[in-house]
Amino acid sequence: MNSLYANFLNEIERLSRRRKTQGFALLTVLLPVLAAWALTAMPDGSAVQSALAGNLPMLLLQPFALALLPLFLFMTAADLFAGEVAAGTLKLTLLRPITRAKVYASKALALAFYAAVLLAALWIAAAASGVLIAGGEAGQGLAGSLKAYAVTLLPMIAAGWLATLVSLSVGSVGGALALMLLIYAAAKLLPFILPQAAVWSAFSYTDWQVLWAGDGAPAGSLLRASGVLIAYCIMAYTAGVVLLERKKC
Amino acid sequence: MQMETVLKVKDVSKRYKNNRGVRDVSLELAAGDIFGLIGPNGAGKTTLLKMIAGLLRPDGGTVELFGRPAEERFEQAMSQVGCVIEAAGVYPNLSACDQLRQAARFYPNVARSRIDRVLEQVGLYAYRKEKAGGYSLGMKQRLALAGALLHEPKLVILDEPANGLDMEGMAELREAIRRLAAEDGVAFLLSSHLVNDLGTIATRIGIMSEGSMIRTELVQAELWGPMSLEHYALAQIREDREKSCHE
Repeated sequence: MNSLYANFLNEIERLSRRRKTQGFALLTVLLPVLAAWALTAMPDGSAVQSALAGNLPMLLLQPFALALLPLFLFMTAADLFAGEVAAGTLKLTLLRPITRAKVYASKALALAFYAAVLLAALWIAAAASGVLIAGGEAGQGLAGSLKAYAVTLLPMIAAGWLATLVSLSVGSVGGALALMLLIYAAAKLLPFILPQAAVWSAFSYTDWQVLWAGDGAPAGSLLRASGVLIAYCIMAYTAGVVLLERKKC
Repeated sequence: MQMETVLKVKDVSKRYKNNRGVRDVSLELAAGDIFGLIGPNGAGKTTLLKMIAGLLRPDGGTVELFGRPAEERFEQAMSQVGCVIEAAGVYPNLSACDQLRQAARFYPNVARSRIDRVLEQVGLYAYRKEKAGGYSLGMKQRLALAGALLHEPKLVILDEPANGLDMEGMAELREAIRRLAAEDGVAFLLSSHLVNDLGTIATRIGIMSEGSMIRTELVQAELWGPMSLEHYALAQIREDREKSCHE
């Protein structure tokens, strides 16, 4: 088996066996169910209730992409490197026939895959809960919400890969997580002081699915935003590979 | 008969910020050799093993595995090497069986039966389905040894392999090393603080002090006469230090 694929499978298997990961997945599925139940408490058949129930996936995406998913990804990224260095398990992989560049690639891909799985789980659970629990109209706005969830993956990958970079540079899981949360909070607050930061900060795009809603923003804006996010992904990935190559284990 | 050279280390050096490390160390291992590295703490044994295994990049010198520079075709070379270096880490949420199944993905032709066999060899078969987080230090070390032997490597690098092992485990390890070296021609590079123990299985020893390999000798009882190997090694190290002081 190709060593990159072998380690990708290993990383996915390890992620799926961790209680933390299982807890995040459970929370992701429970969130829409609870939201749908909350909607049933609204007056029966009201226009607001039926509109919200039919649009539950979109209703939940924004808070999920703003806070919960980045938090899950930061915690997972901290475990992927800082956690493995502390536990002495990164060495187990490095002593196998696999180059460090492939070790990094497999971990980065596993994190991206994890983000995709959580987004897919939220979308399915939200769409199903909206219809089955809150009584929304089946099929209403599903194509639009699917597109929004799909495009949300890119800023999440950028955030996750930046977190892996921090995780590689900091010696402890707690330290890596705290630093990443600090950076994230600062990046979210910075545009209030320095409006230009909203353009060049990767974390400003956690809600960029609104740019794609309906007819979407002008092509130039979408292209620029995509360019910024892809550039962050490339920079974080490249810096991560270089850092791991130089890391003393 | 000329035995195949599996490892050739030439003048490797590594200097840390505290000025410790390894200086111009050379050694060569042929198939079936059991080479024991001896030396006090900080002598550079683990650093040398890490450079050979690719965990550290040497500042100078070359490491050749199976006739090629180690960094050239690294994956191919490492597919014939098994290592346990420093404290054995385990994935606490995975069983011994799962961890070896994950390791097996890196190698072609490691059958499931091989996993069971190697777990039997290290005495973990009965615990193969238990999560490794609950293992004792000795059991973790046994699992690490199983991981190093899983793919039937031609070169095995073991840093303090007896760590945490009980008497029975140590005896089984000694026996396994002797058998693999004699029957399958596996070369072993071992470092241990249990110097006399190492003297009973090694075919050659290397004494390291302050980053240098001060002696490499064939193991033969007449070499250290009435002294134990430990006392012989200590005498060599003291002699070397005195010589360095005079210079």
